[in-house]
Amino acid sequence: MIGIVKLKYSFDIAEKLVLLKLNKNSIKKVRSHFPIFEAHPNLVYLDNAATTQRAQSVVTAQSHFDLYENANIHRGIYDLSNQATQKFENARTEIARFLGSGNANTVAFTQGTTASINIVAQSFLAPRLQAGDNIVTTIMEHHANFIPWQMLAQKYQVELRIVPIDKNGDLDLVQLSNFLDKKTKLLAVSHISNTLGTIHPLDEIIGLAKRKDIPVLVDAAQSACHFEIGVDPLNCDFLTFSGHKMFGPFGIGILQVSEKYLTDMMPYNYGGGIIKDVKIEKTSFRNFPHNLDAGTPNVSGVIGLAAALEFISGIGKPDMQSHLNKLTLYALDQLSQVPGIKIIGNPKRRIGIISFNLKNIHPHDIASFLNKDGIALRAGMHCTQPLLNAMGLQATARVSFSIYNNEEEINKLVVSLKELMRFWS
Amino acid sequence: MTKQELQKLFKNEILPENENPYHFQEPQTASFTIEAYNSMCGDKYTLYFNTSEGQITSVYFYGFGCALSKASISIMCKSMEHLSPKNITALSDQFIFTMDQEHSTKNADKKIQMLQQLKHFDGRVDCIKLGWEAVKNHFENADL
Repeated sequence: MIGIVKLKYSFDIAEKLVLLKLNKNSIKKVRSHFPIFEAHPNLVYLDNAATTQRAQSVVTAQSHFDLYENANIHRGIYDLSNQATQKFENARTEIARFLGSGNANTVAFTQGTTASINIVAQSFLAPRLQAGDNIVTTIMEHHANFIPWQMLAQKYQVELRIVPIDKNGDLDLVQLSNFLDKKTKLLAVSHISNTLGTIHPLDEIIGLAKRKDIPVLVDAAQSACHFEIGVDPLNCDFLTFSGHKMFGPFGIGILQVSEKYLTDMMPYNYGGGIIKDVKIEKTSFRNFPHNLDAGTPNVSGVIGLAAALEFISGIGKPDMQSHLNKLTLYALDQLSQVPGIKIIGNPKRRIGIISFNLKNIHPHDIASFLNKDGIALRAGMHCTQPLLNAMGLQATARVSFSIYNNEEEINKLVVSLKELMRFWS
Repeated sequence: MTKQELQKLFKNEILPENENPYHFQEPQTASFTIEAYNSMCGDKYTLYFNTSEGQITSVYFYGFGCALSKASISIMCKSMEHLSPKNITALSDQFIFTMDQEHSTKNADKKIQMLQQLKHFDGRVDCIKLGWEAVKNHFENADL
């Protein structure tokens, strides 16, 4: 038997973080788990809705696998491959547990949220659609949770019903309720808006759909990091998120499917690894999630994602949420003191993400000038063009926070914005 | 580019052009229009061309965008008036080529030269090229 090389350094970062509370001192400790801040000590990174920074434990777990444990999975009759397979499947079990489920077979690995949503569109929804059906989504969705439904609607001559928002940036739940009927084949909604930071009332929304037995997809890309999620806790049917927005690697994400619809998930991509039996006249396939894994999966990405979830569990989602709430409230208060600023939206509940505009200054120009002060923020449409059009906007500047951000950074942001306003005028 | 250099660039070159753009209005009539749109950021302008006897007699533009895209299109509109479609194609070709290539020839127009010197402006080259690329694409596909 081949012995697995043991790491020489500590691997119990999650353990160290168990008792960590996110106060002023502990934020410094949290930052120390992100090497990017060693390389860029003055970086004010406020683009976490686009991608979070990578935790050391994630990179370590991935590189340890790549350097010392690498072998293809589900293929080899030798120790290294068996051990890699075990690690890969253990990660699936851990991720299911993270999602409040004891059934690892509800969890499929994908390239990310976009891929997960497209898989649901092609693998689950497309075969069920008939002319006259409808799909319900909202105006607030990221393009990834909008275009796949729009394309299906056009191809299968079904109606795409788009739930509007009110002037504050909250969904119109009356309209949403009215849209759901016997012909609705799916409701697709995000948990948190990636542009406005609105937290949608998922309990109520999912309840409306469930009363009519309509399957629900939740895009949890912006919430998976700090909210309790999963198809069971949320009572939804499809849950999607990306590793790279929760301290994990690029190119890995999750599609979780409720047990009710597991057998409805058809292969969408054909090749090795997903088959039961291949004959010249016919191929039969394995069940979900293994019928999606044609080809070699991103094994080290899965290992890295499992490490990211372990890191998050070590801190605790309630503490992360509390920290983000405080930062969001502080930022809203401080930003409101910048002359000429307009905060976009005023939803009932929001977290971690704030869009704004400055009078007469385009968001790209804001981003260029703040970049010179070491502040990284996003400018543009944030892949939510229908939302911006509905709000009469062409673009916004957006700041988004994570656990390593602090009030001092928000103060720097405000100072830079005030200086820019003075310069521009 | 340092912060001081950025401030100097905007103060001396970009903001004056942005605040007083050339022919920034929707004219009553136009021989043809071209849309310049960046779907990644939302910048969107309509360019209005008037022609007479095979020459471009005036170019107007109107829309929404950042200071850089607006300044760049303003400079472009002014430089394209009284040129033939063939010369406009050559001018926009040369501009895009210069923005994309490390070694390239300088344009005689000082304002165009200023824009071309920004070819390494992090993340903003698309803003500068927006209008020029729209014109280049239009005239390349037009039956001149």
